[in-house]
Amino acid sequence: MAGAGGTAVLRYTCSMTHTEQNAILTVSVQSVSKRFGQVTAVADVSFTVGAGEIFGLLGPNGAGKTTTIRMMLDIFKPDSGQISILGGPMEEAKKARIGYMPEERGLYQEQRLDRTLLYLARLKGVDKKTAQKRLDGWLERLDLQEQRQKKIKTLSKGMQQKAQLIATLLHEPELIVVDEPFSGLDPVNTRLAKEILLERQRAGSAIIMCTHQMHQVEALCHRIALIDNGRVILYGGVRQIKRQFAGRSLILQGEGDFSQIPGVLSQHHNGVWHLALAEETAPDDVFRYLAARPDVTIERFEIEQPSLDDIFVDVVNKPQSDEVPTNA
Amino acid sequence: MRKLMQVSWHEYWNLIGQRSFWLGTLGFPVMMAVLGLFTIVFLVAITLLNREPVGYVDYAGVLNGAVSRPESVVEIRPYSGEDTARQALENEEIQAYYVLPADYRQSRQIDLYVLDQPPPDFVEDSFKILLRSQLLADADETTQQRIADGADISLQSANVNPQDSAKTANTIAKVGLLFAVVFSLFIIMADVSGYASMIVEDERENRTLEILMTTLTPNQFIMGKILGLTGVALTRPLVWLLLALPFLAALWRSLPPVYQQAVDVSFILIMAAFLVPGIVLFFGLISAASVLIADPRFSGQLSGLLNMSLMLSMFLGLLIAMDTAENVVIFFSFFPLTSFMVMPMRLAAGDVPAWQLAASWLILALSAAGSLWLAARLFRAGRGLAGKTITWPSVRSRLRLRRAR
Repeated sequence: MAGAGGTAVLRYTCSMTHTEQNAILTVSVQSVSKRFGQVTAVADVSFTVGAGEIFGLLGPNGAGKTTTIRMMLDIFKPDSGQISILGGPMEEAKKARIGYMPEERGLYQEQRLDRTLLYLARLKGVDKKTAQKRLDGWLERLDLQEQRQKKIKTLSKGMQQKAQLIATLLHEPELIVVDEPFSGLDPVNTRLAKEILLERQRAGSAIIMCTHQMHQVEALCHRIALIDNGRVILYGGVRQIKRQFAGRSLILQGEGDFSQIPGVLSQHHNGVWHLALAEETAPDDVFRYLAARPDVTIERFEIEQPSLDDIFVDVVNKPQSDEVPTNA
Repeated sequence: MRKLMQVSWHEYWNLIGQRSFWLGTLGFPVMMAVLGLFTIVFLVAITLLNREPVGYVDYAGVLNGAVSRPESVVEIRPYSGEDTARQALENEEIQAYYVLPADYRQSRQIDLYVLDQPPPDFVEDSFKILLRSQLLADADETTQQRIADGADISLQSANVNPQDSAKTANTIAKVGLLFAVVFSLFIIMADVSGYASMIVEDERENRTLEILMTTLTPNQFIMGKILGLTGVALTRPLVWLLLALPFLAALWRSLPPVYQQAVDVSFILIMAAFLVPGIVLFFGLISAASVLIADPRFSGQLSGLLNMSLMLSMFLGLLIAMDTAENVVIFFSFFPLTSFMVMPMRLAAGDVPAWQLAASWLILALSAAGSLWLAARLFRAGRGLAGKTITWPSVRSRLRLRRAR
């Protein structure tokens, strides 16, 4: 983290992952801004997403995630900045290579499920026979075969969510943008949806996922960008970010009393010691101190990593200060 | 083009497949059929309820005690005097009785006596038939039949030009066809306002707009939908036409040959060529407005205004028929909101120079295309304005911005 004068920006950055360095960029958003009247919805947002990567676009409600996505997909034009999709500017032909599940779920409520899904697939350029064949497979897999001739309005929320997922993936897009893909799904179907997204990722699709379910981000995403007030305030690989925010607490297991370590506030719980380090205390200091003590045996010494949930809350609630990226 | 056709096809079958469309489409002819049936039942019921016998007293010696024929719908009984007839009336054995005075042959007057209301026409007709048959008892059967059939007079002018006669028949046939089209247009336009407001609103309600925007261009979206809805708007009168075919076939057979020959296929084609862009123009204008202002009531009000152009066209039709205000009529036959009605009317009434016909159609077609372009352009701009108060300067700046890009 480094500070610099200028606009009030807080930005944490991490070094690029192997994936980012080597992957073909499916999406490149560079210094994009968008204003609606007097309101700045997005300010100087930059990130990249590679093929075969699951990227988390995170942020609190109203942060500017949806506006960023809409600019990416050419629904809005950015006021400034550059967006490259599938190797260049957005073109009509590229729309068939993109699958989008918007925040506002939408399917034709008065129409039959199969007709709606076939219509949307055909619009994406899939021929009738292929679309039909793929649809059969998807309906079977997502347990919607019996509902295929029913009107969409008669389906449950979870079923409609699964139908929406099919509509997003039926044309086998290279870029998938999903907003809260697990909303309304039970644990079984959530797991199924995760499997499906991972399959698409393994098949080489780039996936941009917006969600507030941080445990899903930890489980699926390779990298994330956290947007707040229209600005990217956290950007990088999930592991690196977690490592960056780690270091202030330790987990210890072993024989002996770990309560009187200098510069540490310790707490014992179910045989596991959680040590909160003072500002001037480093994990190495604690390790050296314990290694020198003959009355204790260490079985586990671990730098405790915060959850993404904690990081999210921590970063979003932190008063914003001037910050300039050092590496992205 | 493929996507545009897919959108229009989907839109067409989506609406055609809805129960409400068929309820509306079949409701009208069913209502007409029910109304016709009700009228028949009503007439039959009146006939059946008024079948009590009628009597007569013949002082003139014309009827000679004749009674009604077996095929007569009402029984007619002779009475020797007014007292017995009156007695029968008061006893409700008969519903009325006629008295032929002794000087009937000179006066041609008959008195009718009833208790409260006169009998229906068919009773009087039955009595007249009996009376005529008795008056003509001495004449031969052909004369009897001819007089019973009544007058069938056909007047012909000695100096009439056969070509003029054919021309008149041709005009009447065309005007008749135009009236049928105008009637259909009023119904189509009532549908248009409802459908046009659905173009964007339907997608907004289903929340499919964002998905479609990442799939289609605004042109594909707007034009595809309007094309589909134009098809729907034309389907309803087409269904009525199919249902009315037996009736129309019977009507055709009953037409004199001069009218049958007067039906001009080229006129029907020209009318269709004007009608389709006319409907598209209306759709385009209402769509453009409903894109800007997402309130179905507004498009309803706008369509009301546009319907006034139909009323104006009707008024101009009268001027054409009266052969007056030629310049006004010519002007409105080029004005796109009225030309699709007025130009066929001019064509029905007389000759129209070919260049005027072509120019009028071209202006109409360009206006229709322009309305589609405007709707698509506003739609694209409107997405940027979503959730904002829409003002003319903001729309103008958006349109300029798009053009610059």
